[in-house]
Amino acid sequence: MRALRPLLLAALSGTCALPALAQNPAAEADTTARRLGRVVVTATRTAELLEDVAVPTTVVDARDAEADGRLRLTDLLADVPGLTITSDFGAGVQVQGLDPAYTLILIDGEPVVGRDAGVLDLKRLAISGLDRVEIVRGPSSSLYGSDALAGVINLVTRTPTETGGRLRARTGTFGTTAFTAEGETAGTWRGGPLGLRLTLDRFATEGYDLDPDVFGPTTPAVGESTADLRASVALGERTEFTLGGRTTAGTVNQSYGFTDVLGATSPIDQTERRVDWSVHPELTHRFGRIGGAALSGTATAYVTGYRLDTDIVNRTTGQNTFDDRFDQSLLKGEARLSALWSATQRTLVGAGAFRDAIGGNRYGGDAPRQHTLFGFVQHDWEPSRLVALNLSARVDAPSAVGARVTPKVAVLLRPTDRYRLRLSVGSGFRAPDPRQLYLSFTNPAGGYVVYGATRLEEALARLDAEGRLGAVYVDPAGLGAIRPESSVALNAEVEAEPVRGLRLTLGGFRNAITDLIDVQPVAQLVGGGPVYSYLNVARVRTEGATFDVAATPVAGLSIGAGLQLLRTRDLDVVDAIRAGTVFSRDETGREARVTLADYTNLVGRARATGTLRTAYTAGGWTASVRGRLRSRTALRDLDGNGVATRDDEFVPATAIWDATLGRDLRVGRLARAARVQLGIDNAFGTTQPDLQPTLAGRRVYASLDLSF
Amino acid sequence: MFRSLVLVAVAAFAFSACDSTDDPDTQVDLSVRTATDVAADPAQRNPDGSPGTATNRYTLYSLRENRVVLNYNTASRADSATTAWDIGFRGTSIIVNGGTSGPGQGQAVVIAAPFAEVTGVPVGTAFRTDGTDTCGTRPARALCEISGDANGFYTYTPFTGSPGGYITPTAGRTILVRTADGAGYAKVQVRSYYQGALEASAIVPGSVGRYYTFSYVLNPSGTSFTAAL
Repeated sequence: MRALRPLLLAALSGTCALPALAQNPAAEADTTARRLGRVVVTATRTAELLEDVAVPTTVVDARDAEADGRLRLTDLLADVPGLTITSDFGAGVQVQGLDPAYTLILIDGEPVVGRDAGVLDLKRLAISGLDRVEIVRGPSSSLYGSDALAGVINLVTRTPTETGGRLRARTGTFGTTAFTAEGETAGTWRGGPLGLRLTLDRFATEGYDLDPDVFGPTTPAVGESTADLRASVALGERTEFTLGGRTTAGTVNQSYGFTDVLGATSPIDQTERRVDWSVHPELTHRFGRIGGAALSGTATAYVTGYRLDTDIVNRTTGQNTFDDRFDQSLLKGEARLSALWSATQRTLVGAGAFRDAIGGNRYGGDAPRQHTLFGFVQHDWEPSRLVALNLSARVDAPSAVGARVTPKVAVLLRPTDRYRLRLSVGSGFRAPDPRQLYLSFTNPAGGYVVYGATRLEEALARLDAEGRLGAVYVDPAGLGAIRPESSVALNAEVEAEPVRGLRLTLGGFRNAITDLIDVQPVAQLVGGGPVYSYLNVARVRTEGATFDVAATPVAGLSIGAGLQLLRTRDLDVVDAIRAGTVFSRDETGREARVTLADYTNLVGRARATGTLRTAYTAGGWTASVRGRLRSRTALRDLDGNGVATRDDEFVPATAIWDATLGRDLRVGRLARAARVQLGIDNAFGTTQPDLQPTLAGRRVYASLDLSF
Repeated sequence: MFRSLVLVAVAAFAFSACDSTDDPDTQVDLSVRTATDVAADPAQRNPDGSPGTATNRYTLYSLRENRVVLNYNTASRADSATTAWDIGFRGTSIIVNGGTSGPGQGQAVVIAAPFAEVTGVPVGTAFRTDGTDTCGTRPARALCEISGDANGFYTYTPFTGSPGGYITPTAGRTILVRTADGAGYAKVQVRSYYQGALEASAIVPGSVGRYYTFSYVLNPSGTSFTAAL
């Protein structure tokens, strides 16, 4: 079967949904995966065999992550080679050395909203109820539009296929508790299959304190509750309807000392309450053969909302110093049509519109709304078994900034069944986010103001009229003209399976990003406080190499290792270094010229990251050991040169080791299956309180898992 | 990391530019002098305890006498209209005694060179004057009050995980100053902007800023900063 062309496979799959029309990806995976290997849906928005996708794609099975004791999406992604979890503005993910704002996060193909400073806090997302997580590296804006610049991470939910239930409970260090209840039923409705699945998940942790001398815990207490509903029903032989709904409610309670510019510290209690929800109905119909092509269509609606309330209370005075609300909603409709022309030609076209609305204290009275129209087309062509081509392009026309076209070309070469070569060139873009467009924020304590690009001109005029505007630093003619950030990227990968049970992958990537948006001082208030806004300022290049090994030397034993080498540079800094005007200064004041060799990475990027995972299953026992290794990492700039060169500008190298041990139990008629698990995270208790406060110490846990 | 091993003493052997006013026979003190914690109009506490605005007055400093001539907290600014001071500090603003800032002939410029390697005022250095030379659309000044600017001395960096940010002198930026009497030149390296002369790695949220610590070498009658052989 391996020699079958994937498109032919699609043609042969008969009454099963055509892969080109993956209206129900998870079901597709369940039925096809067992026979032919893993099916993925994210890279091409169609169901394809993972090995035949032309862009670098990693899949993490949610059950494997559960076996490793993972609960939240952050935990799962931290184990994926080349991905780094960041901790500014919540837990985000860095892909190919790019900030979290440049990776699109999807649930069943639709975006999760509620980013803070561009970062979506991935701790909000539970992995219970998921089938798998697909990670596509490199730009996918040609199919997904804005934000899909470094990559796309798609959480694919499990489709209800059987009747049963599951209960899981866990308790561990730092008052961490987790509880999951899942129930699903599969039946028939008017002769067709009907499935329903409900997942309830509760996660809570009390946080921890690495430095008792400092007021307040190092990390906050967090509680998150998630409810997720999935339903699918066949409406006749050719039509299927699926419905997804999800809501998460969470609280984050933090206490810390706020130190003012004169050095006085007062105790602060900060409470965040956040709620998000989404509803995602989708209708798919197979039209059959029309005009020489097998046609299938999908209509999708997606509605999602997010709300964050932040309260900051000064414990000494009892005064509420900050009462902030932020709302975001997204309303989206999309239609896709797939045409399978022959066993070697397939076309996907799609079009739709969405409305992105935000509101809250920081955005002025009128809730800013942005409308975007979009359309995309993708063509797959397999001239021979050796070569498969995937061409795609998308146009996005947002109301606030100009239209953007993003093309992509991907090629898969299969010289033999044991080797795959993947090569893709594509462009990505990121439209200015709501904060960068619409923010209108006055810091009550710091005496500064920040305006989004569209608000700046009016705000400066108002400040001027009020007699509060001092110097203006930017050319007023250029105000408000903010452009999307855009990239051109190259991804290449060679995959080899020299012997059965051993897979080696060698990859390389380069992203050239222009028009990076950064917050800059644009004017001065009469009192001296700065006025900030968002401008296109920087050019950045990230490039790297990846090496992955996966082996199953004997039955039950799996070994995986991954390594990423990374170089990320600001090209303006590179120019300045070449011009000889960049210097470093050590603690004694001695200065030295910085060379290009000194400049390896932007802040927050490690030159080398690695992961290791070994798991063994036998006789009802499962054991796993994972390691995450990171070379020393640029942390900050102390000498004002924009480059980390001093030793104290780096975080030392770290290695974090986790382990689990699980045992299947017989519990008679109580449950169909039962398992207990003991786990330890950060087994050697590595901490760096000053440099990496989110690196918790050693944690142990125990969990019980019952299936019915 | 590569570090320059060039020391001031070694630099003495290096090229130094001289102009006709240099008199090699005159013994001048070209040692490195340091001024510590010069208060540059620090923030004041409001009656309600909150940090408030400062006085908006400069602290005026004489490089020639290595002392503060007029402190920011002296309300009478009579002494500012003299050539007794060379350089003035208020927050991140630095003025020199000339142009629109004072009656002297003071000028200044920032050059991209390590302090220790600056053996003299390079030939052809284009000095700038307060009120004449522009800083983009900011107030025209010899030394621009812009983070990371080629004519500025500092870089503003946001704290990670805390509100606000910190000011650090940009490495390899040496300020050349012509003294108010028009006769001497100094090279100045700002070392710290924080009370207690905090080195950058010691700055935390709450470190009290607007205090200058700087090193300088003054030639009261010439452009060379190295002793004649």
